[in-house]
Amino acid sequence: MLRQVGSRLLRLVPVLFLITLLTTAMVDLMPGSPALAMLGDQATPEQVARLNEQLGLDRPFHVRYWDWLTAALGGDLGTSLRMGLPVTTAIAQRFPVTLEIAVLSVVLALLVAVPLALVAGARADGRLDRTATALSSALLSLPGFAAAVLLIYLLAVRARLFPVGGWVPFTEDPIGNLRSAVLPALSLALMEAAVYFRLLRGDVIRTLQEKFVLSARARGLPPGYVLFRHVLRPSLFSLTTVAGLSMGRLLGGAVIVESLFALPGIGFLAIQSVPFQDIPAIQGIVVVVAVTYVLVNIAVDVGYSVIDPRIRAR
Amino acid sequence: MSRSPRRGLRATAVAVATTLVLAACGGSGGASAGPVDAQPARGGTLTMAIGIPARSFDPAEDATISSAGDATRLAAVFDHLFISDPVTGEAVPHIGESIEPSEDGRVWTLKIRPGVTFSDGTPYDAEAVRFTYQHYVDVGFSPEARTIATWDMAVLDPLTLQITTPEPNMHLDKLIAQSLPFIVSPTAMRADPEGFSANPVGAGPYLLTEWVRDSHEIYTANPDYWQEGKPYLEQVRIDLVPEAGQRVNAIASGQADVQPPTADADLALFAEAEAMGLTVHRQDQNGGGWIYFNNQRPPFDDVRARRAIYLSIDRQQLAEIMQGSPDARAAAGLFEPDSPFHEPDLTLPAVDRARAQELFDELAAEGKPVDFVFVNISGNDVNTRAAQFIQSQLRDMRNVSMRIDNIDVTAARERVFLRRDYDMSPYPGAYRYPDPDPGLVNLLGSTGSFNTTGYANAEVDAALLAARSTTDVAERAASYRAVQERFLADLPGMFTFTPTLTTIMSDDVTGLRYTSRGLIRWDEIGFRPDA
Repeated sequence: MLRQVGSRLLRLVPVLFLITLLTTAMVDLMPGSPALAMLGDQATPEQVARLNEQLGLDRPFHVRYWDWLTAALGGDLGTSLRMGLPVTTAIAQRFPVTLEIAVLSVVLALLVAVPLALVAGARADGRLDRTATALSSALLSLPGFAAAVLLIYLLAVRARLFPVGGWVPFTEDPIGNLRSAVLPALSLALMEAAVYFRLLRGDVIRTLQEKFVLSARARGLPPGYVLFRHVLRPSLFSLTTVAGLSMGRLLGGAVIVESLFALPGIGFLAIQSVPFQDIPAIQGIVVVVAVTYVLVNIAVDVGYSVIDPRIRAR
Repeated sequence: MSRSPRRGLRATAVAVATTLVLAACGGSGGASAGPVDAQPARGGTLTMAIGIPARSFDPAEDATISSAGDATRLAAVFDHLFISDPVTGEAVPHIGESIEPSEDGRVWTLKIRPGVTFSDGTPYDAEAVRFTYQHYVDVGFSPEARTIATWDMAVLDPLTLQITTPEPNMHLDKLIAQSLPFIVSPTAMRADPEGFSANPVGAGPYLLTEWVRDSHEIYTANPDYWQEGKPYLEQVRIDLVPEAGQRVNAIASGQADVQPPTADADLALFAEAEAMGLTVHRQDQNGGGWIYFNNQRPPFDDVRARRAIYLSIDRQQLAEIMQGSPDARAAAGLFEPDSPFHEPDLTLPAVDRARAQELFDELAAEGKPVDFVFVNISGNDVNTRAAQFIQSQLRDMRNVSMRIDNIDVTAARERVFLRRDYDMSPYPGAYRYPDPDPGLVNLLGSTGSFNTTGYANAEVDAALLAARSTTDVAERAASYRAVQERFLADLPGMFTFTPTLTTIMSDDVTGLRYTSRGLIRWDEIGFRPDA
């Protein structure tokens, strides 16, 4: 297992090199410049040239990329052009926000989807199964931002149970933190829950047809016990893969939801950095997102071996 | 903690809003418009929802002075040297006690109110003003830096600064009030030039006490503020809420109290806010939504092509589509009816598609078909709606074709403003000028900083210069009449809707006053005593 993790981490190196190079090239090819974003509509070519020189943007692309790469290898991801802050600091400030929202939304989605899928799968085509399947179809067609707008109107503007947006750090006010995290997490969790439900329900129905389940039932074990002890674990493979992938995706920043709720997370940082062509910040975000994806995938692989010890033995 | 707004019935709110608007329009007392119906109570935290993150607290690094961005924050920390009146554009004394020109308009004497200090205890004096303006030149961000670089500044005594300009200008005070209101503490800037943008020191009513980037800032009342008994609030919190609809939701839910006055053109959103029982305050200004024609290359180097576009389009319908509301008004001329420079007989061309077709045919017969590219700023719904409407209006006409290129704002800045590689393109927002100086001069003067059309007309330049050289309203009106006549003959760009500075706020807020740029008077705002 350790060798497998090590090999995955090694493969990360060329991946990081390629994606940062490509990202930098793409941003570099975009028309406009950070200088224009700073100087506004009345900038003269002389002002733009002067600021580009001050920011080091007048140097050739390959020189800038090489400088960034060598510094990045030493842990320095550069300084954000928009904020004047070290990129590592900016990301370190924002990552906990994105992490909390991602974890909360995946946990919320699992809390809803797992019990519902077990019960619905156990009584396939029953009333609960039909209702839950129809509801999940509806939720699947509801994108996160649309759910967010609906939740904001109902729970924030009308009922005033939660804030419309903004972020309260956990260290400042744990209750306030939870209140500010609920709506964004719920907006993202609704669609995730629908996906998880449908996957797990299908797997549960398939597992229920296995002989070992029939044998457990024949031994007179209670249906609930059979579901949790015999059916759940072998049905978790697809769900683990998808939950892992969605965790990786959400850790990369739920751009629209973070922007809508004004959450100072990674997605919001990206959406602010791209129009500004803040190349160091964009490169930093890309590195973090890529590393996160790989780490989450490694965690998923480890998860498989927990679910099925036979994998460890292979 | 923000005060929880108590909203009554919708009808009550609408009535209150109407009263406030009427009160504001009825007698603003010269300094600045806004609903000022009750003296604010002391204390409380006012929360403002704003759309653009704070970037820097160094005024010299703010090139746009937009109320939706850094300038609203700078006004809290630095206050205003002079207040630029949003209705007239006049420079109203504030920390600056007076600003007077010499007879020939070349030498200006600026006097500072005695006894004002920065929050670090150092004096706010003539040297601080000179230092700040020189700092603008050194940084080189602001378009005003180019103007300041031509000045000769001399400190005559601790409270008197003399500014000598290369050309006569009887309206320099308006430029200073509008675009150069923020003065920094030279001591603080010299001590930490790198850190000043995050740790500003000014003489404003509030001190920046917390700044979480891309999230919020907290400002605490300045205990040594120069106006006794002010400011009214204990704290101000500015929350970043990028989505326009979410800002309205934040105010409606009590999470925020106000959003800054802006020239945002989406009237439907304001109607929605009114329906939610919020106070919506509006102030019309001269100018309008503005679309550039590139006067320096075909097809719009020919005035017939520009006129044909004007005649093809029902601008009232265009205004309604751009602003998303039947309440929108097309700009009728260069000045609003309450302006001393308004000329009722000089109005922009009305739609006449038959005549437009004749012009298109005439140009085509000469081998100059009107095939052009509209460079649109993507992400701006108002501009996109304008582009699509104009394209639809031209679709069934002969010898004219329009292609829309959608690009983002910085790319548009490079292509339109720097390279002038466009045929037609919208100004992002509304171009406003309470007084024509400096706004109209920058737009139409051949060397104006906003003259992106490349329009150059000696008569217009001479008339603008003549108007700049006098304070006599009748003489100025005569010069601006000449400018308007020439504008209507040449049509270098297209005015679309009438611009409006609009503020959305909770009905607990009172004392809303602002400058011509929509910058809040933080010394005046607070909560109603009965809130």
